[in-house]
Amino acid sequence: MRTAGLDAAQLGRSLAQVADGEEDHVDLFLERLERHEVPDEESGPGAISCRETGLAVRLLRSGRTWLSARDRVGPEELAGALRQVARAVPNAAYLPDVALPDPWLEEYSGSELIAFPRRVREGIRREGVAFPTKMHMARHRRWVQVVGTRLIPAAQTEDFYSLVVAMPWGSYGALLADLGDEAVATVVKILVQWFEAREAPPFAEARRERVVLGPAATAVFLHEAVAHALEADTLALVGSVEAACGVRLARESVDVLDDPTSAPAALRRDSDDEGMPTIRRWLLKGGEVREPLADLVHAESSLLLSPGAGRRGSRHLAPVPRSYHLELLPGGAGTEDLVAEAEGGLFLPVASRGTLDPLSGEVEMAFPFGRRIGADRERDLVGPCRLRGTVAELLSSVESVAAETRFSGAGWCGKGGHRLPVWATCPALLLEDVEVLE
Amino acid sequence: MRAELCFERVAAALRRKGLDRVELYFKQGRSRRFELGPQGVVSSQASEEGWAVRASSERASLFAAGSGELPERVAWPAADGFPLTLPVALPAVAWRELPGIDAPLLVESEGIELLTALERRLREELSGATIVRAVLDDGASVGEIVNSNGVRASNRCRSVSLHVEAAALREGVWVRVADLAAAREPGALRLERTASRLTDRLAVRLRGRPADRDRVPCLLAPPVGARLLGAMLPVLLAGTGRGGQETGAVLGSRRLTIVDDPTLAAGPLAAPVDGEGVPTRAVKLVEQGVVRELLSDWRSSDPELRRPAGQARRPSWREPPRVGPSHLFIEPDPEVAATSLLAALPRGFYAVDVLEPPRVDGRSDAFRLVASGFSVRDGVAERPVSRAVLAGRLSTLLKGVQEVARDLSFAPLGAMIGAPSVLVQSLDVGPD
Repeated sequence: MRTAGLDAAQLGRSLAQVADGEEDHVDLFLERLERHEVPDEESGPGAISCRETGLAVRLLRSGRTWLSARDRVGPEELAGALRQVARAVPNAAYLPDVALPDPWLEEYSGSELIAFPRRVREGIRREGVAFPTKMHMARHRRWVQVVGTRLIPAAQTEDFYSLVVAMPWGSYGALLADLGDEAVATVVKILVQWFEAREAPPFAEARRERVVLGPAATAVFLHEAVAHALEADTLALVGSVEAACGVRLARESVDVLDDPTSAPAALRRDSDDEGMPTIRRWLLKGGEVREPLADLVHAESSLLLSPGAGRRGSRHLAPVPRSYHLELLPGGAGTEDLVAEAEGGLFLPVASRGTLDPLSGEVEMAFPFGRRIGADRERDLVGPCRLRGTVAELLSSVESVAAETRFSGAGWCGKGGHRLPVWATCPALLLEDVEVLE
Repeated sequence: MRAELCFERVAAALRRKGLDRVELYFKQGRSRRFELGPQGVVSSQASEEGWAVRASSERASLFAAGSGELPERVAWPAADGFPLTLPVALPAVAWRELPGIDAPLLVESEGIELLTALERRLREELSGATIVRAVLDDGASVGEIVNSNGVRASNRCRSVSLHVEAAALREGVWVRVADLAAAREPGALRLERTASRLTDRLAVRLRGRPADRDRVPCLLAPPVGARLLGAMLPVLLAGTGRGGQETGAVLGSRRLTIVDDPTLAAGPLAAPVDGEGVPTRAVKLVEQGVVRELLSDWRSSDPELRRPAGQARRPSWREPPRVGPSHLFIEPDPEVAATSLLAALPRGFYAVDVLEPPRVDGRSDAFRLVASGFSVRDGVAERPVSRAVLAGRLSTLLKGVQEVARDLSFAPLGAMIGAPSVLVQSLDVGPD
C-alpha cells in the first residue's frame, strides 16, 4: 500500500457526481483498525493481531440513507461503492487516487499488554491478599478519514486499551486510556474490594436508599441516564427531538457536557465519524436540557440541533448520534464529605452494566458490590445489587456533586448493534432516595 | 481454492520464524442490510473479505488477521502463549447441497417492502402498534481453510435474519417487545408469524397485570425456552469453571434431551466442517436428562474415546475459532402438540415472551426468568400477565421438565438456539 496522501480534491469531485441536488449529502469514510490482544497466560494460544482497512460511501437524500462498504481500499473498490450508492452508472469514470497513509509503520511488540497483568497481580499481593485472576488485555487503535464534497477534516485517531478480568465470583471489565501506575492502582483497588465482598450477603429486598456513586459508576450513570436519553434517535422514538430542549431533568447543580475535544490526547477528536466538527455540547445546563446529541440525519431537518455527534461502530454501519466524552462539572463538596452526608446509605464504586429503555425511560444499573456507609465510617460490604428508576426520577435525585473529577472509560456501548467505547470525566455523585434492589 | 494458492508462501514465511504448524483461513462474502427506525430508511450493501492465520511452534503460537487480500509480506506478531495443535485431515462427511443456498440476496425494493409490509400488518392487527426498529440482514459467504496437517476444506453459507422491536402505548406508558428470526433464505422467514408474535406479545403487555405470587406448573413457549437454553450455555461447555456439568451427571428429567447439530439441513448455520476444518456431526449433549457430552475442544479429549464433533465456531475472520454450538436445541417430541399441553393444565402459567435476558448460574444452581404470558385455568388462558418473575433452582427447573411438544423453533442468539413448548412442574412465579 502506498503511503502517499489522499487526493482529496479528486475524491470530492467523484463524490459530487453521486449527489443529485443541493440537499443531498455524500461522504466517503476511510478507516484503519488495529487490535492486539494478549489472552490470559492460562487461556491457550498466544497473541492476537488484527489489522483491517476499508471504506464506505454514504448518500443521504430526503431522509433515506444508502451505504456501500468494502474491506479493501483502492480505486476499484471506491468506484464500485459509488456505483452501488448512486444506483446508476455515472457519466464520468470514477478512478480517483485512493490510498491510505499508513499511520502505524512501527512493529508492535505488545510488551505493555503482557506486563500489565503482572503489575496488577503484584499490586494485589502488596494488599496482602491472593486470588485467582484471568486477565485478557487488548489495545485498540483506530484511524479515520472522512471526505465530503465540501468538508475534508483532518484524519482522526483513537488509541486505548481494554481489560477483562475473570474471577471465580465474576468478571470485571474496563476501558483504559493508558496502562500507567494510576491505571494499575485503580484496577487493583477494585479487584481487591470485590474479593473482599465476594461472600457479602446479597441485597435483601427492594427499598429506597441514599446512594453515593463513585466516579467510575457515575460515568455509567451519565452514559445511560443523560447521554442515551438525549440522543436524537432515542428522543425521535417518542416525539419531537427539539421538544426536549428546555425541559428540566435535574437540579441546578447538574451540568453535563459531551466534549470530544477535551478527552485525553490519545482519544481527542475534533471531528466526528461524519467529518463534522465536534463541539463542546451542553447536554444539561443548570439541570435543563440544552442540546441533544445529533448527527447529520437529525440535525439536517432542525434549526436547534447541531451535528458533530455522529459515530459509527464500523464502516459497515451507518452513523448514529452517540456521546463520546461526557463531563459532569464538579461541585463544591469533597468526596469524603459527600460520603459522610450519605450516612446509612450505600457507596457503589463501580457498575457492571447499565441499560436504558428508550421508550419507558427506565434506567437500570447493576453493581457487583457495594459498601454500607456507617456512622463511624466503617463500611460493611454489600453483595450485588441493582439501581432502578426513570431518567427523570434518577436525575432529579442528584443531591450533591463532588469536587474531584476523574477520567475513566464508561465501557463499551452496544446500542443499535454498534460497539463503541465511551468515556467520561466526572466526580462522585450523591443520589437521594433511589430504588435499590437485589 | 484461493487459500491453497497462498498457503505455501505463508507457511514458508512462518517456518523461517520457527513456526511449522500453520493454518490459513479466507472468508469472502456479500451482504445487504435494510433498516427502518429512528435513522429513517437505511439500505446498506457490503463486500466483505478477510484472512486469518494461526501458527505455532512447540512452544508458542500466534494469530494474525486482516481485511482484504493477504499481503505479500505480513508483519507477524511475536508468538507467545501456549503452543497450538492443529487438526489433521479427517474423512469428509457426506454432504448434500443445502436447499436455498443459491437464492439471490434481496434487492433494495424487496428488502424495504418486506419491512414496510411487516409494519402495515402489525398496525392492522393491533391498532396503535408501531415498529420502533426493524433490521433485515441478508448475506452469503464462502470460507476456506487449509492447514499444514493436510486439512483442505471450504464451506458456503447463506442466511437471513430479522430483528424487530415494536411498541404500543398503555395508559401513557410505552410497552416494547422484540422478536428475532433467522432462516437460510428470505422466503423461509414467515413474516406473517413475526407480525402475529409481536401482536400477541404487545397485547399481553397492554392488557395484562403483574403476576400474583404462586407456585404452579409453567408452560414455556418456544421463544422462552430458547432464551433460557441460550442462557444455560456455560453449563454445557466443558471446562468453563462456571458450574459446567460432568458427563454422567443427571441434569434434567427423562423428557429433556439437548442436541447440538451443525448438520441440520434447514439450519442457516449448517456446515460440513467447523471453523477449523473438522467434520461436523450432531451430538446429544444431554440424553433423557443425563449429560452425555459437553461442547468441547477436540484437543481436550482422547480421540480413541470421543470422535471430534466439529464444535469450533468462527463467525468472523477477525477472531480465532472458539468452542460453541451451531444449532443447539431441546429435542422435540413429534407426538405431542403444544395445544395439548396447555389443555391439560388445570392451573398454571403460560410464558410467551421474555422481558429481560434470563440469568442462569450453574455454579449456584440458580435461574431467574422475567416473562409475560397468561395465567391458565382448566386448560384455558385465563388472563394476560404483563410481568412475572420465575426464579429458583436451575436443577428444579430442568428436573421438573414433564413434557416437550413438537413445535421446535429457533432464534438467532449468537448461534441458532431452539426449543419446543416445554411443560415444567411447579415453579415459583411472582411479581418483582
